[in-house]
This record gives sequence, structure tokens and C-alpha cells, in this order.
Amino acid sequence: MPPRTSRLFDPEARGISRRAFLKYCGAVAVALGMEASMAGSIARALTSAKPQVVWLNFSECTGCSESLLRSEGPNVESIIFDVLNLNYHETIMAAAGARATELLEATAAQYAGQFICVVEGSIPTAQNGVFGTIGGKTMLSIAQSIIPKAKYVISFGTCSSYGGLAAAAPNPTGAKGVSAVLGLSNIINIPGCPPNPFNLVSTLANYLVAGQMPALDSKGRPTFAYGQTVHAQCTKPYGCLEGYNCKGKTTYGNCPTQKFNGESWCVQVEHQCIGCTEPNFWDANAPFYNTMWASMFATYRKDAQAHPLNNAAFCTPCHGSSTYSSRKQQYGSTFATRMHSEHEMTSRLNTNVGCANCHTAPGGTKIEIDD
Amino acid sequence: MAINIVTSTKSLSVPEGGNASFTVRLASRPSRTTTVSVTRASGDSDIRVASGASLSFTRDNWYRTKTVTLSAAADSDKVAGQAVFSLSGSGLNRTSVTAKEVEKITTPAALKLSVTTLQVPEGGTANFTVVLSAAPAANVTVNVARASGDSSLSVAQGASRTFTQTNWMTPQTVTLAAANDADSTAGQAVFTASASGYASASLTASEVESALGAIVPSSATLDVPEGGHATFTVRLGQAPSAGVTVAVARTSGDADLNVTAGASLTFTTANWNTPQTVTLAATADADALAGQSVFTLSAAGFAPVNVTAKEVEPGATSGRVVIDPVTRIEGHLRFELEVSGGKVAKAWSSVTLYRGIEQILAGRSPLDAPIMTQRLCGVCTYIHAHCSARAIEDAVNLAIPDNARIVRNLILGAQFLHDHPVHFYQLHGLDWVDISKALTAAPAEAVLAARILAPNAPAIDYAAVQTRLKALVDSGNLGPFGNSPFGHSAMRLTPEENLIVVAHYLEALKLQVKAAKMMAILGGKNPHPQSTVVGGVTCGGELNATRLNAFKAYLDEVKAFVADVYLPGVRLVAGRYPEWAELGGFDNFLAYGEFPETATEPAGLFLPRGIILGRDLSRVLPVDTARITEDVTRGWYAAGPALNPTVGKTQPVWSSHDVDQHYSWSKAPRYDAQAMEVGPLARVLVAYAAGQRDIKAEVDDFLESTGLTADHLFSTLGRTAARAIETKAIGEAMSRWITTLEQNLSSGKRQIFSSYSIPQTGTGEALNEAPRGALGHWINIGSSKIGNYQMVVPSTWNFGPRDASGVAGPVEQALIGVPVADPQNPVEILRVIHSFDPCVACGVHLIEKETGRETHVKVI
Repeated sequence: MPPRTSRLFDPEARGISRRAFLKYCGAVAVALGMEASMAGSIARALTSAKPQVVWLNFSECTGCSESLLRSEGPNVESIIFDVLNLNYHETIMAAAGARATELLEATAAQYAGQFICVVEGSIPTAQNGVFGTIGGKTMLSIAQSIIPKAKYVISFGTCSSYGGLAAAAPNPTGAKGVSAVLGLSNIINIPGCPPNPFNLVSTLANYLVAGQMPALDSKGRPTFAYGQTVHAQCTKPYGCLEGYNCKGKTTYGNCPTQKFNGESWCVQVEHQCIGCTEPNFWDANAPFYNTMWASMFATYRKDAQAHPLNNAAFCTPCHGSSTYSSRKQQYGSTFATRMHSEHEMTSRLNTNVGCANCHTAPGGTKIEIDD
Repeated sequence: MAINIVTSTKSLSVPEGGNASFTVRLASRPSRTTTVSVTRASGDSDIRVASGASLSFTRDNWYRTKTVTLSAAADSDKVAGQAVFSLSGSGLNRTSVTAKEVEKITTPAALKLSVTTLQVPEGGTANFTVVLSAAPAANVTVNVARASGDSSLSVAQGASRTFTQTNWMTPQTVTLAAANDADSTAGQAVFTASASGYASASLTASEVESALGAIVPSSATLDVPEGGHATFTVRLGQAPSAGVTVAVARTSGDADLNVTAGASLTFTTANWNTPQTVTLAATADADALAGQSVFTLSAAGFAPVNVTAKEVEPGATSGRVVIDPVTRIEGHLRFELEVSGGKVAKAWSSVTLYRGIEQILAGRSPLDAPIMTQRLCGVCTYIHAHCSARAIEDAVNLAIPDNARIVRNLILGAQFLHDHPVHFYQLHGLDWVDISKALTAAPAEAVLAARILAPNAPAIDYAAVQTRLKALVDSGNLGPFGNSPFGHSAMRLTPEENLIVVAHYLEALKLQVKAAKMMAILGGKNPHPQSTVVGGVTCGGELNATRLNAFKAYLDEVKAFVADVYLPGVRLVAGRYPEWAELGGFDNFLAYGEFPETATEPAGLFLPRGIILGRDLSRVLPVDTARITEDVTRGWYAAGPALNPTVGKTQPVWSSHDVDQHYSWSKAPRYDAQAMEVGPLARVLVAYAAGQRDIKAEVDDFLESTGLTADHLFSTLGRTAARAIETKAIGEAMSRWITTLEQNLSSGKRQIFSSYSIPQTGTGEALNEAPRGALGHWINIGSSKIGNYQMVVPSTWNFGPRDASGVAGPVEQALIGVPVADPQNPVEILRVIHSFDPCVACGVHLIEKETGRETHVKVI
């Protein structure tokens, strides 16, 4: 067995300050519910022990690998060279053909019961798996022969966790997640489309420090990352988007706190959460844009005005251009109250649904209607 | 408590007469707006703060980096000055940055020799190399001659060597010989290499007296075909005093290899200098392994000399090569090749994964199509969402606001700026680079070589990179570099160049994180941004100065990398592998064009739309999508006629994998029944032929600096160069687009979305360019739902199978004639495949023609 210890990772030699690295490790510690003082242990774990890892790409778009490439803290270069012995990963490995396959089989045999298997993509099972083959073998048979030998399996992304897009109705290829195919107890699901690389690094850090799987929820996800709803952690940077079919209330994940690429996340660019960390979300949450979405969006975003900002424009998309003036005249001083009532706002006010039809921000206090 | 000032570096180099920058931010939120002052505290007054002497940080933007630019005056001294700059401010902990002036290196055009002294054994030869330090204006002839000294030393080969604009960076060998002379003193001579317009260079050659002389074989290695034989010759290096018998015998290795003639050679005082022949034979054996043996030449009183003979399998020159999985690509792809006479005669490309996304889309809300089709690819992320939204907007007949168009261009531009450098280094780079050779590089030499190859690239600590590589090798576990074909004969970079490119490989890994941040700023995340919707974009709140400035800062960093590292890297490959400017090319090209700079397409496209047929750059034909069909004859689909995508069908029917019948999940797109190459080369050729100014300037610059011609663009190298060329042009254009966006916003033009309603029925088409080539989406709406949805993607154009007429796909055709030196390591095939940047996964194995057996080929 090759030496397990490597001191290759010297953050300062990479232009990453030791302090920045420790800060990152501190964030990992907090995420994992450890004392902040564990940052030092995590830093040591990330820079010394190098677990043997194979990465299997099945029915996928490679977006999860791309997401890992964007890792910061330890960036991908450190992960590849210093944190892991990444013996098999088709997207980056030098070897191809049988020379590549040989590395996969050798790692699985030599480190049986010790290596970590990361899976990206679902497994096509229809017609015995003919819809996906690698090296002349079906992905299904590769999964069955390699994955059970791993100490831990990390399903990285929604496809390997729950089937993902290929498994959406009518699921032409019989695509399934790893758990659904193999039913093993040592599988950690890190869903997301894409998943956040922070959650993979934190899961690995937890393993390297504590030697075990993190606590999981009923859907096999680490609770440190998927313990709260998106809505509960959301800062609502441009107002709550629930009226726009936002799935933040039923979706578990740490997007609002970890963000992506250290920069942003869906709600920060004013797109509603589509619930991509939940099983079957492509079917359960669709259609993603409710019937009023297009007109609502145009009126909600003052900056996004399709038409000059005049009051009639709020009514026009649904009722035609003459409605506003006639209702305004008809209702007089009770206009606002009546509008709320007619649009069932009274029962919806607490959830902001529908406010965005008339107000600059959903549920916002600034009223654009001149009542 | 005082707040720390965070700088991107503690020290930096400022080129004389130039600038260098670092960034500054605060470590924590200040209680009020705080100013950081940057002043020179001590040192050389030639170094000054050019901009950013006073940086203001507010309570809201304290974490955003601001840039300080230092300049160094061009001075006459040859002393590299140094100065310390102090960063301070009220309530801040003072810190400093040390700036060092780097003297401008003006390399006079000179000849460079690999050594300054050379020992030549008496009666034998020794080699050195000569190379130019700068590109010549025309062919240059270098003459090497003895300038002074012992006349028994002479130039045996290479007295005259010609360097072209293409190969000037490639060292050429000169052989010196020392005659057998009667004296026993070791003579010396000075040899000078000279060429017009270049400073001469000299070396001192010393004759090394030989006590015994030497046994001299004609070659140290020999290939012996299985079932056949091969010969080499032997002579003595100097006249013996009496007759000498040289014995030739196998001392180790494969017993299939044997001496069949010349096992004992007798040399006399008269014929010692006449070569005598040794014949080796390789028995035809059952194994598929290429054996190897060492034959030792020995004689009393002489040092033994070894000749290594290698058995070459007959399959090496004819047979089937199958590659599965092909790695360093996106997706699942398999290649099968028939090799004849050492060259590819036929090729079959197989896409081995089917996901059924088109079937999944049917019956869903059209508005969901962008977000779902985006998941077609996480590498060419975004483009499918973009194309899908445009197809629906076409169906609705909706014009989107200018700002939405610009934001989409910026997101897609960020995708190109991310994707292309990653392709060159992470996916394609190992086709040209031998990491093992980087271990033997002299880091100090690499520094010098890098100054010539990439003079504007940031300084890199090559010794540290090499140490890190060595540590990886010493750990015994090469990780992703496991099973590389180290030492392959097709690898031609010098050790130092290998080290430089490996260092840039690591730099590119760091840089791509920043390129992705651009997309995340406007798209919410990368991969799979979420701000593009039917009607426009959603990210209005992020279109503020802070976020756009952050975008610009990342853009500037990526642009610098493209100009200073990526393009020089491509030029290095072009210089070292000039034959690849004539291999792996194709004839027909299709570009839909991309980046609408006005609302009118195709007239307003930054990269124009067009078709080039038969390598004819004098004509750019218009694109008519009615002429596009997809053929399913050789794919695993229900049989039927070739259909236009507006009426296309996707009905998978699996049968066995058989290259004579059905062998791919890819359909075969054709334009007027012709196979068309799509991608960077198609875009660049169309733009070049159409006279697009930015592209034309970049192409001409590249051709001039490499000594290539436009005809050379139809090649593997042309494809790889086109990718870098358009990356640079797109980066420059993005800076212009963002300026327009800023002007729009500041003039109160903030609209990013247009209202619409989805009709009961409609059809829409969108034409775009993914980094990998022309992409089309076709939607058919019925009952306000998706009726039929067809996508014709770049990799089906490039990697599609044969059609009903037997016309092979572009890559299948481009591979024909490509040499395969070692079928066990078909590096050449991977160079061609990777140059197309496939977005599907595959693998390689070998089926021997004679036996029909399939063996797995070792592929890097």
C-alpha cells in the first residue's frame, strides 16, 4: 500500500494564506456542528490523510464534476493532488480505454472495503441497462460490481441520489439513483442540480476527522447541509418569491448560506427555487412557472417593466386595459380593500402570494397604486 | 479594534516601463467609510503608484477587492530596483507590499547551443543542438564550423542547418567527430555556429583519448516485426593492434528474438572500419505482447555495448483499434478504427449513452423547457437554456429587451472563457505534454524558456511545481495521472517546456474558478445558471455597479490569462508539432453564428453565420435550416427517412453494437446531404472568410507568429488554435458589451423582460453556438404544451455515425490517414478526437485483424 501520508498541501505555497484556509476549515467545522476549535483538526485531515477514491460517471451531464471543479477553500487542484487519491475520474484522468478501466478495477480490488466511491449520474436499468455503456459494459453492471466494494458511497448530485432528470416521466431509460438500484446502507446523498462542492468537501472532512458518515436525514442527506429549508435560511434579497412558485419552503438545503461559486444563488438572481435537492422534483414541482408568471414578473420588477409604469398595466395582463379605470371609478376610496378582497389577498397576505401583482416587491410596503 | 488590510500579495514584480497590479480589501466591516492610502515608504523612486493610491471602502463594499496598479519607469540603469509600499488608514492596521522592478529583457537575436563544452571520444562522435532565440523573418541557415584548434575534430553532420518560421524553436542536432589519430594527446577545438542576423555562439570540443577504442553499432535500438527479421551493423571505433572477434548474443528478454546471422564478427587491422551486418529474427508467436530483448556486443579488451531489440506485433500496422472509454471528454463515447500500413483507414464513432430528454419534454409546459434542456450538458452549461428560451420566444414572436440580450451574451461569453482554457489544459493538454519529462527539467532553464514563450505571463516558481510533481510521483500513487504512457515517442516538448505547461495546467485549474464566477454573478450559479427565462432575464437587482465591477475584475483576469498564457501555449504546441497542421482536418464547416450585438440576426451577430464547403475560403454560403436533416440509419433508432428537425422523431430501438449495422445513440445530421464540422474552427473559418475584423486580426497574428498559412487551419492544430483565437476575441468583445450595458443602465434603460403569453399552437426555432459548435432547438407547441422537441447538438454533427448513403461523420473522416506509431498507445488518435472537444464519453480497445481477438489498448 502506498504511503498514506502526504504533506503536499502547503496552502501558502499555493498562494492561499494559511489563515484563509483555516477560516474555510472553520466554516466546515461550523457546518458540521463541531466546535470552531476543530478547524485545526479539519485542516490537518484535509492535508494529510489521502483516501483512495474512484468517481463513476453514469447517466449524467458532468455538471456535478464541473461543480466540484469550482470548489474554493481547498480548490480543485488541491483536492486532486493533496486531499484525495483520485484514481479514476473519466473527465480528468490521463489514461483512456482499457488503461483507464484497469485503474478502476485495481483500486476496487486493492482497496476493497476502504475506498470511497463517488457516483455522478443515474443508472439506466431498462432493458438490462443497454442505454448506457462504458468499455462495452453496461453502467448497471459496473455499478453492481464496483459500488458494493466501497467503504462509503457518495451520490453526488440529484441524478445519482434520486434519479434526476433522466428519471423524470416517462423515464424512457429506467433511470434510478444508486440507493434505488443497490439498496446499500452506506450511501450518502448530496443532491442538488448541481450540488454545492462545499457539501462534498465537508462530508469528506467529516469522514477524515471522525472516520464516519455524517448524520443523515430520512432522504439520506447530511443534516449539516440539508437540515433546514431554503426558505428558513433565505435572506430574501429582493423580496420573497413564494408568489412565483418558489419551492423554498419544501426544499432542504444550504444554498442561501453557502451560495454557489462564492458569489450567488438562484434567488439572488431573482429566480424562484425549483427544489432541485428533493427527490422527483422534475415531476413533483413542475410546471416551474405558474400560469401568471410571465405577467407577474413583468409587473413585479420595476426595473423589468415591459410597459411604462402606469396603474392600468397591473390589471391589463389579466383583465384587459379598460378594467383599471372602470374599477377605480366604481370602488372609489375602497379600491385597495376591494382589490385585496377580489384577489383573495386577505387569506394570502401572510404568505405574500399575489401581492407582487400590484406592489413593487411581494408583500412590500411600498404601494405603487395611487389610492 | 483596528481592522486588517488584506492584499492579494505581499510582493510583486513590476516590469520596467510597464505595470503590475495587486488587490486590496478589508478583513472585516468598518464602522464607517474608511480610506486606504497606498504610498511608497522606501526604495527605488522609479516605482510609483499609477492608480489606486487612495481606496475607499464602505460598510457595504469592504469585502470587495479594489485594484492598485504600480508602474516602473523605463530607466537606463541595469539595476532592478525595489520599493516598499505602505498601506494605511484610520482605524486600520498598517501593512506593506514590496514591489520589485524587473529589468526588461531584451533578448538579442542569437544562436543558442545546448552546451559550451563537449567531449568527443576518439574515433567516435558526440552531439549538441542549436536553436534560435527569436523567430526569423525568413528561413535562416546556421553554419557550424571549426574556428580553431585540433583538426582531427570535425563536424560530421549538421554543418548546415536550416530554421524556418515554424521550427525555429525546435533545436536541431549537430554531430562532431573525432578522428583516430596517432597521437596520445587529447586535442581541443573551438566550433562556432553562425547565421546571418544572429549573434554567433561557440563551444569547445575536447577529444577524449580511448585506450581500447570501442565497438560501434549503427543503432542502439531496433524494431523486429513478428515473423520477420531486421538488421543492424557493427564496426570498431579505431584500428585494433590485432584481429578482434565481436560476439553478439541475447543477454536478457524475450526468447522469441534471436540472432540468425552475424553472431560472431571478425575485424582485422585492415577492415576494422567496415560495418558488418547482424540479423535478428522474431518468431511468430501466439501472444499478443510485444516482446523486447537486449543483445550484448562483446570482445576481449573492449567495453560491452548493448542493442535493444523490440518485437513489433503485426497488428501494429494493420488491425482494429477500439477506444472505450475515451476519457478527458464530457459523456460516453467509443471509437473503433481500422489501421492499415500504420495509418487509420476507417473510423467508427459511437455515442454510448441515451438519456431520452426529448421524450421527457413532450407534454410539459413550454416555459419549463429551458431549465430542463439546460441539464443536457453541465460542461457546455447554460447554452441549452439559452437556445431553448430563444426557440420559445421565436414561437411566441417575442423580442427581448436589449439589456436581456446583453446579459445573455455576457453569461454565454463567460461560458466560452471558462470552457476553452479548461479544454486546452485539462482535456487536450496531456495529448501534447509528458509529465514525466517535466521531472527532469532544470527549473532555472524553465524560467528562461518561459520568458521567451510567454513573456507576459506571471512569474511561476517552477522549482516548487517540480517539487510538488516529484512528491506526487514519490508517493507511489499518481492519482489522475496513473497509467500515463510516459516516454511516448510522439511527445516532443523539452523537459522545461513540459514543466512550463504542467505549471500552466495548474494555473488554469485555479483560473477557471474565477471564470465561473462571472457566470454566477449574472446567472446565480455555475454550472446551470438560472436567470435566463422565456422573455428575458431575471437578474435585474444584480445589475448594479458593485456586481458589474466584480464581473469586470474577473473578466480582466481571465483575458490576461488567455492572452499571456493560453495563446502562447497554443503557439508552443504549433511550433513543436508542425505536422499536426496537416493532419486530422475536414472539408465542410457550418456555423450558426453567435452573440447578437443588435436585435437583427444574422446581420447583428458578432461571430457570423455561414457555411464553407470544400475548404473554399473564398465563398461563405448562407445557412438555410430547411436543408438540415437527421439520418438514423446507423443509430439505434426506429428506421425511417432522414427528417428535418421540425418534424424529427426520437424513437430509440436498441440492437447489438455492430459497426456494420447500428453503432451509436447519435443521429447523423447532414446539410444538403453533406457531413459538416461545427465548433471553434467552423466559427473562426466562417468569420475569417467573411472578413470579421476581430477574428481576422487574431488569425493573421497567429499565422504570422507560427509561420503557418491559412491552409494549415484545416487541421488538428487549426482546430486547437481556433479555440484560443476566438476566446481572445470574445473576451475583448465582452468588455465592450458590458460598457454598453452600463451605459443603458445609467441612462435609465433598465428593462430586462418582455411580457408574453404562450399560444395554443406554434413552432419555434433557435440557432446558437455552444463552445463545441452549432446548436439548434426546434419546438412544436400544441394545446399550449410541448408537442415535439428536437435538439441537434454539436457533438452529433461532429461525432455522428455514417448515414444511409455511407457518408461518414466529420470525425470519422478526419481520422483517415492519421498515423498510429504505437497502437498500444494511440496518442495520435486522441489528439484528433480531443481537438473536436467531444461532449460524450468513450473508450479504446484493439481487435486484431488476423485473429479477430479484441485486446485492450493502452491509451493515455
